[in-house]
Amino acid sequence: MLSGTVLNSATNAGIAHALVSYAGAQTGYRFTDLSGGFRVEDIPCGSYSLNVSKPGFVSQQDLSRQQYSGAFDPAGLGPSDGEADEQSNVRPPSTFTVADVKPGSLPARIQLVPVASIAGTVLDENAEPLMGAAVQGIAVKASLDGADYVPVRTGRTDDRGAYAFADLPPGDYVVRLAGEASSTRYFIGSRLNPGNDHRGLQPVYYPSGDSPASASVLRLGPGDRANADFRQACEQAFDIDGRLAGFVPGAWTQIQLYRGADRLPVGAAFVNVSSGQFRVTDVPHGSYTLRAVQYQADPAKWLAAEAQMMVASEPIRNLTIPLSGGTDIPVSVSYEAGAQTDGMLHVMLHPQHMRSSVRQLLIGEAARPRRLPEGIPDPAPAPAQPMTLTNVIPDKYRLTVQPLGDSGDYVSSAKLGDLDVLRGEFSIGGNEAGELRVTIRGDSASVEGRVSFDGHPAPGTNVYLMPAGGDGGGLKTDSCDDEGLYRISGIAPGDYRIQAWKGSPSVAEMLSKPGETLTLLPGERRTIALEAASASNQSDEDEGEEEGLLR
Amino acid sequence: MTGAYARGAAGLLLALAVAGVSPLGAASSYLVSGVVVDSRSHAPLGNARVSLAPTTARDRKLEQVTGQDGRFSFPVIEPGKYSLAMAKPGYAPQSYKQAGFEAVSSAIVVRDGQDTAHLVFEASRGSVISGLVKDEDSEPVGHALVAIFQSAVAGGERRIVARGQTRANAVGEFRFFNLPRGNYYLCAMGHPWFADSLMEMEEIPRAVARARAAVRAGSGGETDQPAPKFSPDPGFRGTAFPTTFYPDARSVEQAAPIRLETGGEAQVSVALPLTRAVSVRGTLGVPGEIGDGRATLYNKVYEGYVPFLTAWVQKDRTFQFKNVPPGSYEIVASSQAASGATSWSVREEVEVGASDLEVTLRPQQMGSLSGRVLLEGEGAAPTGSLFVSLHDENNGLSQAEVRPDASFSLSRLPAGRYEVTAGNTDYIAASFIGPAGERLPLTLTISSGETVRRDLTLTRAVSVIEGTVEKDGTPQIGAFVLLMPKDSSRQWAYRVDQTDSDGSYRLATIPSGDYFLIALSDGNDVAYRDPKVASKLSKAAKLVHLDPGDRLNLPVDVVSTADLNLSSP
Repeated sequence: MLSGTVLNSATNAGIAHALVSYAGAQTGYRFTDLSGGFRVEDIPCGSYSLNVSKPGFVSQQDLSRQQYSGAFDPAGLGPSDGEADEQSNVRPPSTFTVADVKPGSLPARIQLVPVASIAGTVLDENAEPLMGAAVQGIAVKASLDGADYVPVRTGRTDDRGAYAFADLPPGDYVVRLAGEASSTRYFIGSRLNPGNDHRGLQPVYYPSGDSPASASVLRLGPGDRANADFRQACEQAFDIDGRLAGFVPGAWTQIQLYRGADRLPVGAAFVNVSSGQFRVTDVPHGSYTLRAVQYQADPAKWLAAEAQMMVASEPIRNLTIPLSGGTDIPVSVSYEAGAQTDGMLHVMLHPQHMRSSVRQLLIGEAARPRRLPEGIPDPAPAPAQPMTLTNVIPDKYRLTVQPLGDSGDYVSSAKLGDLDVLRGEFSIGGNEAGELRVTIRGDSASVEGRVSFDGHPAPGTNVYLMPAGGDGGGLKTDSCDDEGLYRISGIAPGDYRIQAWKGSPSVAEMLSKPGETLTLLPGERRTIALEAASASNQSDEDEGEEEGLLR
Repeated sequence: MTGAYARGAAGLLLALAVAGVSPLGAASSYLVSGVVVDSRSHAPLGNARVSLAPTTARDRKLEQVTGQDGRFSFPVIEPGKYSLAMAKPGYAPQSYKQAGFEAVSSAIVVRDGQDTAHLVFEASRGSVISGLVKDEDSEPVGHALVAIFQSAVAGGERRIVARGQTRANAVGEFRFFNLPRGNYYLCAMGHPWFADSLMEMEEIPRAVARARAAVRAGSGGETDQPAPKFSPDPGFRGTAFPTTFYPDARSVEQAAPIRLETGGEAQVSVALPLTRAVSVRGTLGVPGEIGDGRATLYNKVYEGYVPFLTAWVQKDRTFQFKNVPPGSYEIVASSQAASGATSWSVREEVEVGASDLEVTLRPQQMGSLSGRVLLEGEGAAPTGSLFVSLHDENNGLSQAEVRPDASFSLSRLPAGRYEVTAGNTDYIAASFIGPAGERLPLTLTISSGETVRRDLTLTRAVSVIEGTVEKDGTPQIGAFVLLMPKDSSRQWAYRVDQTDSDGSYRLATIPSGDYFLIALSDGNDVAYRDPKVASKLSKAAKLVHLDPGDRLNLPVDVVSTADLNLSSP
């Protein structure tokens, strides 16, 4: 019999109506009963992988990963264009674990971590609620260079000035009031009466900082509810208007005004879909980038434009902004030092601003369908795709290249023309961008060893390997097994810092502990023994839980 | 107080006068001033943003924020009609004497002898519907789609009108605000959070069996292992939520209205029951290469459609909605944006029951209409922009502005029957012109992919009725003035207005004919196209005959709407 209980890690109470799916000699699923219990009768003995999920809960494993700035996360793009986001939020994260079913095996105990929330109200200088203001929840994540700020939620205030982020994974957050932000609205005719109030806001970090570093960090433990109220004076705001040259009448159009490197648009944008006249209202003083994008379906074509402007104390009138088409970027891959030439490679260009202008390529054979048991052959490979990123519109981009599967290969270089684009942001303009050349190498390094805590092997501790320098891309983690052993492989040679933690450390804890630094050479297999530090938010009962967990 | 100063030579002094300065004692300024109060408590409203703009030039807007006494005061130079509006958190942006959602309000008439300095702007506080969407186990349904509808009179007909939709947050909470008072209906739809996971798991045994079959075929007969057993939860209830109406009704007929008073808040919760779902597969019969396309499954709710699921149209012209609960839907598939020869759009009504459905959607190319506008009648050139509008049978609207050379064109029109309207405040569409110069009615049937060229006659041969609505000799502000054609089949000939601050009304662009004219104290809820209501109205109305180009000045006495007992179903 396979049985167990799903528990709230903060309260130890059973979680009802959680989904427990299992796969092994038999596959299936059960929902937990009111006390969090589940059981599957008449199941063959053997090892089963379990996935447990429930809205409002995240897994401890996810949480450990999420507290660090890992591979670039497209969800961090910020401007929520609505639907797409919300749809993708429907499925809660699942907690993965393994259970052995044999005579006399104990029931499994699976802990899920309850999400936290931040809520608040936004009032203006007259203590009147500000309606429709954009508020961002920004996760504070550790990287070796310091804290990284990753926008994870965008909300809007209602008629009471109230906003809420109801489902945040526990962790550190700052909250930013960004002002009015809206999607592009269309109008016809020559007149536009937007009914705006000529008021705007400079962005402010809770409670009154002008940068994330000066903001109060809200440390949210499992199940915590934090409050972040704003009282913010509005200032006079102005309109920007003009015309898009080279406009395709009737085509989907988006106009957005960004403050500096901000990813959340400012003001309310209007565009006349037959003439290309546009207007952005309620823009407070500051320097801005105006971006316009059009999409024409037949034939599929993207057009884009970007213009810098400064708003001081008056409106900006009669701009002419020329649209230009996107560029095609051929991609070539070279494989060195024993890299698998038939492996799958995922190449993706993440634009700074628009989700819809993400460009990606899957190079190599089709991936295995998910969850097929061992020994089942792959279906026929998909036909090879042309190796070109097409219609790349002007913007700043960030590149991710990821070898799929477990070959242990790594990306050693990525160049666009002569530009090194492996890490960080780079601009692609309207002109030829050159070829993207990616090099994959097979001589990756690995690190393994034993983690101890108070002189004893420490099963279940988390090990974090962070690249030195760079932007947090390439962070790798592992959880120790029953013997306290860890192993991280597929590491690009270079300088790293490694830490082991019992529980999940805060950003501050991560940054305050130097850990071990190491330089890994090509093909090196390094063994390093680690002493785990204890994270402050580790529950006292963890020790006991580990003992009873899934034997 | 009236506009007390003599009017001087406007031009030079305009800027000074607007700024409120009285140059050389010859000031030429009127004052529009008063107080903004809450419509129920009559307490003054501070921090209200009040704006005043000429009705013919809304972008020349003056703005003020009221102090704690709720007072506002605008000096204006030019006599004329002005639109007075307010906005304040908790109050939907609204105009003076605005009734409900309709944008009809009373203008402030500025002229000598007219008191515009003692206005009382009764602002209606917005109403709120807030609540929770949950499932049968009382667990929140995150990201559920919630739509509200109002039973309202629009254009003289009582209808159920869509008033908005929103997505509940991650814990199933939603909030509609700034609503006018009225009777509302609410429905919720959503996807169970576990639906995708369960459907993927259902796929596993089949995928394994397929893969095993492939191995056997390739290796010439291995030992035949049984596929792993799949064991769903014995308590399985389904993977979809059918659209559910407040309070917990499956159909429109069983839905209960939510009564909202001005400034009131209704808190409601809706429980979505689990049900078994089916898949709906569609195939497009669109010829040629198809570009990017998207199919949307709309839930048919009342007369409206709410987007429920979307799917990409694959290169093989198929798309699939995998998890569809029983109900009435419409599928709309169309190419993405833009114009061009291979644009396509398909729509099909489907009734989804207990079993999987295959639908073939017949190709439907987008049509277009183009032509020229010919002005007849008094022959003067139009002063403002002219628009040509096509109304489809689902209240959809395509609209294009007439170009300076009098041509117009509308593209991307799905096949169907359209009513055509055109014009501006001075012109209305009179007829199409046929190939032999004959006059054709203002309806148009466009078949799939058809390019229609047709010229349109606009006429200024229109009559005007103006006047004042009074009660015992006192002008009535905000009265509802209705002109009904005696022959109710002349549906385009109805005209309505609301009286301005001096009690005046103006009904323009009226075709000649016989009419009933009536002024009602409150027209917000009068379904005047309902024959029973129309019959009662006509008995209390004045009969008017209009010849082409007539300009009549008719004073009307107001009739109390309550006295007519017009209650319509």
